[in-house]
Amino acid sequence: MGPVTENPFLIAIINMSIVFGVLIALGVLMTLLQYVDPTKKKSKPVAAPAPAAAPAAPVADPAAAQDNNEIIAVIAAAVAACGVSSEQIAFVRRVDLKNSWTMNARAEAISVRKECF
Amino acid sequence: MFEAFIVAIASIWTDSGFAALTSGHCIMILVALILLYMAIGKGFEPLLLSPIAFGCILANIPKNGFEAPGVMSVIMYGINHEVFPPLIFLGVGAMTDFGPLLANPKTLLLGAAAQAGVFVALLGAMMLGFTVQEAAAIGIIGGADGPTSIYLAAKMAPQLLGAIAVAAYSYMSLVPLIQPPIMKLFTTEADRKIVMKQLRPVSHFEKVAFPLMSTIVISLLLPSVTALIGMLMLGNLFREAGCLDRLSDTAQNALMNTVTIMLATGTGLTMSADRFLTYQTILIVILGLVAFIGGTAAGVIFGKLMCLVDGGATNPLIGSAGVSAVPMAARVSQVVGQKANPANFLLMHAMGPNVAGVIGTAVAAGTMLAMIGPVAK
Repeated sequence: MGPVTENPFLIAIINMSIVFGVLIALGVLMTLLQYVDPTKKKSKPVAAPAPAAAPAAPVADPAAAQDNNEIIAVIAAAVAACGVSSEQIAFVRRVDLKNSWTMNARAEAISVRKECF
Repeated sequence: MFEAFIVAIASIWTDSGFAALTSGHCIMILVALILLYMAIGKGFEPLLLSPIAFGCILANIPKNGFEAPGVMSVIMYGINHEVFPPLIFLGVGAMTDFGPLLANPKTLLLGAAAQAGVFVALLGAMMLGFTVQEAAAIGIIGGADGPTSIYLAAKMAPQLLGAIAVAAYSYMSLVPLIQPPIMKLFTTEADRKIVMKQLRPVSHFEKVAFPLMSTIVISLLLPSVTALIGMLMLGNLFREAGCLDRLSDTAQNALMNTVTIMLATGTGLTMSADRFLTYQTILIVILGLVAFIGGTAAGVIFGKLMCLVDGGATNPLIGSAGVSAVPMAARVSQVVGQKANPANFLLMHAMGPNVAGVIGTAVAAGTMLAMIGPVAK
């Protein structure tokens, strides 16, 4: 099949229109890709717990505030006796006795780590 | 005995290349030596110009016997049957990050606008008496995309392939000299100082889905460039998949280097004196320059238009990167922008139109193949 047209102006106009058309269509599809991205939907719930975690700290704080100041002072002194400044204590948290299995596992993990390293 | 010795010497002389050496061959060998000096001495695209120039020397050795089956005929088969350009595109795809384009899709328009240079050269070529197929092959030099130029020239004007390839690669290496004056001509100091907003991060999903989506859309629309676009996007998929690093590494390095040697040497082999030393070659070199200037100017002017429309968010300098020449043209945008404002970093913004230019040139080539059609071989 021969050339559709041999008019250079017509070739230029038709060709440029097609180049723009194809690239605009690609641009639209790229924008669509951004919106249909399934991994983006997953990332939103991950971001959501972050603000949820923030209120958790104040919950722990009132519990700590309820502690007897004397007990906190004793704990700070005991920690200081181990060679750590009391200023380095970030918080003192009450152990939840309901999670005793978890606490046991954590204590064992700490002791094993000490043995290993 | 003395007579036999003379006859033997005469026979060796008659069979030697010296006996058939013409002034044309000598001129072409001289041209090749100049190209080699530019490549090795001046550092202009040495990876491409060196094998092109060496191939040119080989092509101008009389009685070289390259027509007979052998390695040179295999290389020429790859050139004449468009084997190498898609393989080069595989490597280019594996090296290209489409992230800046995906983060700012409007820069696709700059890649499209810069294709205007192709049609300025096409118009000029037809006015100078080239056939419509030859004019289309010459025009694509303005796309500043070597493999696409060779691909289209092999299909539409095989007799001009050598001149077109040399013009395309020479101007690509001269992008840092050609573009800055045009960029400054069409922009003000204030335009060049514009600092663009940081691009958004692009997800893995977008980067993997893009090559698949663009291959399907462009190939269905322009099947004649399926080989080029398909290989470009396959290489990009290797890069972005995250589990194909070995293939990506091979495509970017070993395969790319091997095919570059074949493609560039093969291009040099097309530069025989009888085909290259013509009046048409000079016209092609001039038209190639016109195409480059036209493409750069169109990209910058469209960038300026975009800047006006989006309230000064776009630095018009990134428009010049729409002429492919990846990543050289984007680097030029960065350098010119940084001269106006040393705290400005346009490189990643310019990569958007730069890679859009590669797609735009392939689309322009496909459209011309569909509209005008290849020459009968």
